[in-house]
Amino acid sequence: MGTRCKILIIEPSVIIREGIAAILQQMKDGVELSFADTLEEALKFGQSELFKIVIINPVTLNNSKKNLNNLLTLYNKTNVVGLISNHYDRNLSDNFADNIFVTDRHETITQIISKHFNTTPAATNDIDNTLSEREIDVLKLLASGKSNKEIAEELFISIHTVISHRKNISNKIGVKSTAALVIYAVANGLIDVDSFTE
Amino acid sequence: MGSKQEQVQKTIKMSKLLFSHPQLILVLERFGIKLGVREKTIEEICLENNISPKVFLMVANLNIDSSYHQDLDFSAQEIKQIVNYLMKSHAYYSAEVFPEIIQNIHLMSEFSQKPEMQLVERFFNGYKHEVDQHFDYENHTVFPYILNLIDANAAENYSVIDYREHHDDIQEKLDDVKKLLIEHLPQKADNNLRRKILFALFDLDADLQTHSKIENEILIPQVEQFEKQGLV
Repeated sequence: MGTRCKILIIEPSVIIREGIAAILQQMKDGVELSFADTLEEALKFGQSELFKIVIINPVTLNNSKKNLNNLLTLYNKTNVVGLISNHYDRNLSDNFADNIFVTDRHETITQIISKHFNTTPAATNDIDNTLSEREIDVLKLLASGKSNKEIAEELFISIHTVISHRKNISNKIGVKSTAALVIYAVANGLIDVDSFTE
Repeated sequence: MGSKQEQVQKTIKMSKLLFSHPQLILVLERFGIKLGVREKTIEEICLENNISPKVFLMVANLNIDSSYHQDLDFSAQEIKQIVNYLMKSHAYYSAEVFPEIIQNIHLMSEFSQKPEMQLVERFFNGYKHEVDQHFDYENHTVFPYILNLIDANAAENYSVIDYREHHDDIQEKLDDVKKLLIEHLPQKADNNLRRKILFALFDLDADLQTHSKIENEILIPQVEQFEKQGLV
């Protein structure tokens, strides 16, 4: 290529940002770094082809599948690498070309980045979108108008778990609102129309 | 390198622009520009219609390429033109787009006799209601505030920052309807209705995206700047 590899780092923490920058700048292939604190700021760089690699902390996606999809669409010619410093929904990080963990060793990080210097992203990987049995249980109760708390009590699980199931259900089906989830449940015979109330 | 889309320049002919990007016919309409543009350039047409070419190009470029970025240096008069444009868009959605979609969804629901389709109808009506409220708020609170700020130079007990917080994502439910109709709801013989609905939803979605980009990336920050530094 000859030119330096252009990398955009989207990371709100200045410590992590500067840290990863220091590691990348020591690489023998020259890199040219740009930075953004937030996704919005990153979008100001405009055209996606500008960057060979985008390194992003998923926290900047606000746990939103929509933001993730927007990002992956915008950077569809760019290798998007996750920068993982916390616990996130795997659905977010699994969709990146690779992930750097904040606990990774120096060599691991530079290896991951070097790998993406000359590659272009593979076609979007298909995720398995079938609901698990537990998720179907949660969806049925949700569609019958039960609150998170009631669902938790009925299934003997914590509210936190209910919320996490809900998030996964939404991600798999691809709809966010409860009303749309109800429609999905009705259409798939998971609940009777008579069994839910207004 | 080269960017995906060439930016539109004010020196090209308006007709050339419209032939390459016919969706901009709608933009012209909202700016009160009549068709029959002859051989005139974008700049000439804009000036004849008292529209700032800069404002027109911003809207046109954002319509064509959603990643288009524009620096914030709009004058108060230009912001008024933008507000006017947004109000015209609201009227278009309320008077033309929504009634048609709602009518078709109603027909589809009647035709299919399926409970899920009746739910889709109820869902979309609920969505329409939310959008109406959102437009009402903009038409009756935000836009008058901005126009008053510009005309009377009077800041009130309100700021567009409040607006930003009020500005929730009205596109999420639209995505949900599209997803349901394309992926999850088996189709019987309602094909031409469903196709019409989907085409209308995709058009609406694209238009609303540009619409919120103008609000979020141009209008709010520029007015915020006026609030802080006075008018330009």
